Amino acid sequence: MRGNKIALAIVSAIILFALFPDVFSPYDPNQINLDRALETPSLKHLFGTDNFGRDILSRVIHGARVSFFAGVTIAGISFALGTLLGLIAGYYGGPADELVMRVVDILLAMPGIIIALIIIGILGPSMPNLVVALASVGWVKYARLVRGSTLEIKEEEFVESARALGCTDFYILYRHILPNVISPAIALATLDIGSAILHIAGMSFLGLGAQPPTPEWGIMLRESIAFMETAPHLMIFPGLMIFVTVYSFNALGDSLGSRWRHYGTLGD
Amino acid sequence: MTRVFLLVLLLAGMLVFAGCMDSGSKSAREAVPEQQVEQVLVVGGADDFLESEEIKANVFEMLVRVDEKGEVVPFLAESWNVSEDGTVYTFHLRRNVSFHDGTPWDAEAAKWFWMWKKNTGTGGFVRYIKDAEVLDRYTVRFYLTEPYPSLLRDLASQFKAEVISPTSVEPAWSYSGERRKLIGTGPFMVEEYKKEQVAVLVRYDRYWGEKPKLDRIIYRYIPDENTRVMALKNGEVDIIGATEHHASIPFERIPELRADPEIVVDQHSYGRIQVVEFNCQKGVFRDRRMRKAVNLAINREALVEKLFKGNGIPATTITSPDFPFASGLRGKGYAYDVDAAKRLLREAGWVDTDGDGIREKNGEELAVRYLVPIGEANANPVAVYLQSELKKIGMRVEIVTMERGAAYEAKKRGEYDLFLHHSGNIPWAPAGLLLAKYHSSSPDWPYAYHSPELDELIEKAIASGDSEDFNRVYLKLQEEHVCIPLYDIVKTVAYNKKVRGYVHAPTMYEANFRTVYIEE
Amino acid sequence: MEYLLKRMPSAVATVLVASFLSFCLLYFAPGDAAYIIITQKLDEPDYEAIEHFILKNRLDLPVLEGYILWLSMVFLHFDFGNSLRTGEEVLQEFLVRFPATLTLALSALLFAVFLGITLGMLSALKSGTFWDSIARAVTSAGISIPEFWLGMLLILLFSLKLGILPSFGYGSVEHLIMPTLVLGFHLSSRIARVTRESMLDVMEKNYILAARARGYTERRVIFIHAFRNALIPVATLAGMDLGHLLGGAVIVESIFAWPGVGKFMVDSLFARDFPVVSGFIMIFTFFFVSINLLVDLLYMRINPKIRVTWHARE
Repeated sequence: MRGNKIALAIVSAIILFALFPDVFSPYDPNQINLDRALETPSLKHLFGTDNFGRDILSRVIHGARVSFFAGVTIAGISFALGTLLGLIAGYYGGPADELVMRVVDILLAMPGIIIALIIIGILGPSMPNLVVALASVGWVKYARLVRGSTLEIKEEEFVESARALGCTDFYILYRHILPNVISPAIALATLDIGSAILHIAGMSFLGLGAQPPTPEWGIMLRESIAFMETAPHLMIFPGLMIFVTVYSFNALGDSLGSRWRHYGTLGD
Repeated sequence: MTRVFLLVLLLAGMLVFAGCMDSGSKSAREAVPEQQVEQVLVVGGADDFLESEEIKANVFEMLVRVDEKGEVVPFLAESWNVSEDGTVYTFHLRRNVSFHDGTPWDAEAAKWFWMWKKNTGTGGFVRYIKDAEVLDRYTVRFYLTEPYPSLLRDLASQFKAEVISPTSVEPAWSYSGERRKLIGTGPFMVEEYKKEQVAVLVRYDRYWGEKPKLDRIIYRYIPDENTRVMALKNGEVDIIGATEHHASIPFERIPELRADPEIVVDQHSYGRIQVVEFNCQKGVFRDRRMRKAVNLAINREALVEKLFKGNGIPATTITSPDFPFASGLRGKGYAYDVDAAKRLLREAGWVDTDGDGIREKNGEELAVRYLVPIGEANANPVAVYLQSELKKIGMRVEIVTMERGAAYEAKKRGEYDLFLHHSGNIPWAPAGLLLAKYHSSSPDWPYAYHSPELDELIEKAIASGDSEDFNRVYLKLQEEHVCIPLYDIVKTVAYNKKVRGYVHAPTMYEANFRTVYIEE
Repeated sequence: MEYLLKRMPSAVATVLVASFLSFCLLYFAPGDAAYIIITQKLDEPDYEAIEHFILKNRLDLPVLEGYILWLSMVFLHFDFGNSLRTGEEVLQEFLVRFPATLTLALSALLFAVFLGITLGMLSALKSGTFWDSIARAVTSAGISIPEFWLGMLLILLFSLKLGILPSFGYGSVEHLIMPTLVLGFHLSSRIARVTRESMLDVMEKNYILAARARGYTERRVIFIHAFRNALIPVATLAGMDLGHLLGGAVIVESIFAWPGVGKFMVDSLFARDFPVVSGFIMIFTFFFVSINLLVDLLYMRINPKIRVTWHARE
């Protein structure tokens, strides 16, 4: 699938940018140069410069690091926490299940963004706090997914026989159940990275996440509004980066997920 | 299938209904009939009408007001006297003044106002209100529970003491009535008000003072600053920037506004300087040499010219020398001398030993924490500029942006080296500001510069109220490099060139439209 | 209707927990509401005024007492208290702004449903062709594009360059167009995907084969038999996603100066205006939980299978 090769290439590029931003950036992303402000793209500055004279390409590349790591962290924590709770709820049932599902219900009862807003409102706007806020609502879909699969699997014969053989619960969960429920969760996680990156940019755009002068795509977009008419290139490149990055992660997640068809559970 | 269809129909119906709502405010200009040559001013404001002191100043007035020197002068009260013990204020009210609904402004109304404030007011003076007495038609006496020297200053504040009609509360004339209507004594009255959308003001023809030329003011709520600029440029509003304190027009847009032949950019200084306060009690800036070095290392001219594109006035003194209480600062401003700055740092023991551009001392890097509360004007550009300037002398600045509440708490705990603030305006400065910031009893600034000598000077100045004494305080503060003055945050107003007669008000807290008229 | 009764207690609990949490957490957050609000209004800290403000609004009460006081006012008098910032009643502040947010959300939902179903059907029925590729490309873009960027691009094109749509404000259909597009695009893509998958799935089912064998026209087969059944998961998605819409509305309201609940909420949060925040959360949650219940009930009526399994579970 040709499309997927491109997506893979882009995702790899993003990961490279995230790991070695200084290698790929022609300039220091925070270096200001007021005499060269608002320059349109040229050979010297491939993406042009912003109102402080900072090189946009370098800032965009460093932005990849911010977004990628934050996105992966959010998806990772959600994945880990959600899977764990889903396994426990599905396997043990009873009070554990009740408790987990109650919490899930409460969290689902409110728009996720409201919860995230509250957490940010209390902890204060910063990237680490944003990660905490988004992960706090993000684990829910994993829990539901894994719990559902666990419920199905635990009735299977091989689990019955394992139990009859006297295997411990932990062993059963780890060796028999987990491998069978984890694949859809992983597909979800990949899609989730894309979605997390979008949310990060969105919240930072509102001023509720990363703070200036951090080079972050959402912040860059917010700062570009003042120059929409006079210097639209400030707006184009960060937005394009977000779009392309999320698109690629989604494409990747899709091809993983298309092996496991689920209606309507791959929600935000 | 039918059910889904019905649901969709229902939704569609709601949408149509919603779309039909409020089509009245579609375009303010279209609402005015073509035949009439009505003088209409459309204002773009950042806050809801009720939240903006500046626009309300056209509708509501106060007993007294403050002029550009900070002196209290007559307004709805013509004269007054204060008893020996400071607890009785007798006001002689202006005559022939009436509220917008015809209710006369007299001692009865004034008494009601005072007593109503006692029950419902928010302001320093409110807790001191004891009683009021009508002496004759235009003379009223206010009693305080104890002397409160700031009373007149408080009564001059729009927020604390705008005078409203006793008929505007429910039940009317009740001392604890709830405010229901918007009725004042000002040159304009409120014809229509839609929260967070629009307020329409019309001229009050029986205004006691000079009648304004405008027939109507339409105040439109536009919270986003760039949207306001856009609205001005495409003619949806006629004037922006007037109804906020200051800096409501992003400075990045000012050059394009200046370049626009249809638009006039009008700036006025109110002596409000943006400064960065040092933590003088803890950390590297305990040493005066370090503070001085920083003040020498900032190129304020470049800051204003290049970063703010000329919008602002470089400030090298900690408050404006235009104020009589700080006139002695003239000529004593900080110089720009990077070499001297570097020398001072070296003297203080900070040298770059490992060649990375940042100085060290005893193995520790010269790194300072700059706390920026979200919402301060131009916070980001200033931070970036400061960081860049100080890097040139080998100091690393870590910018920490926090929302206001957390920032204030951190400030009280001294968790900063640098903190973004401002020099204060009249009437708060000088007395209020000095007590709040630099006196050792300050609850909010425990880590600012304090000394017993300074305390004495401040106390003396407040007791005497003398400009000379205040000058001594400010000179001392300037010498001690208590903060980094940056630039005068001028109030910028931009309007379509058809708007004539706009005059800046004596304080930045008022948008004066009384003299404005439209000439196409 | 026993279903309703069963779900009621947990619904009520949810609403209470939500409001309590938000109340508590704000109380303990750093930052003094009185100080912040007064200093912003007056441009200087007036300590007398701050003191007075604290006493007047009973901010001196400890958390539990404050919460109980507030809760009792809510349930006994329907009085959510007054906003610390504006002094107006919280309920008033909500009612003034909510229609705007609701209008936006509903119009976006409508748009998303129409566009999404159309694209999804197109993609499913013309699977593998050029139209399918176009539809899928648009759909994929819709899920990945940042809403605020899309909004900015639209403003740039339609307001600044072409001047045919207003860039901000509220009150007429023109004002509604761009915000709806921005808010609804993402959702429409998700709906399109689900519609497509669902449709493809359904088309292979037995009853379709049977319908064809009975000689019904293709059009009838598709629209009466397949479509109806394919819509079920779509309906679930649409109902569930009201939350996402309300959330996305915060950003859209910010860009287009749409006078809704979102911006006010964010500002109140930062000013520590907890009567507003707790009140709004409570109202929101109540609204939300009700919608969810409604959707569930609707779902049960449409799909009798669920009803059976639910009963079986008891």
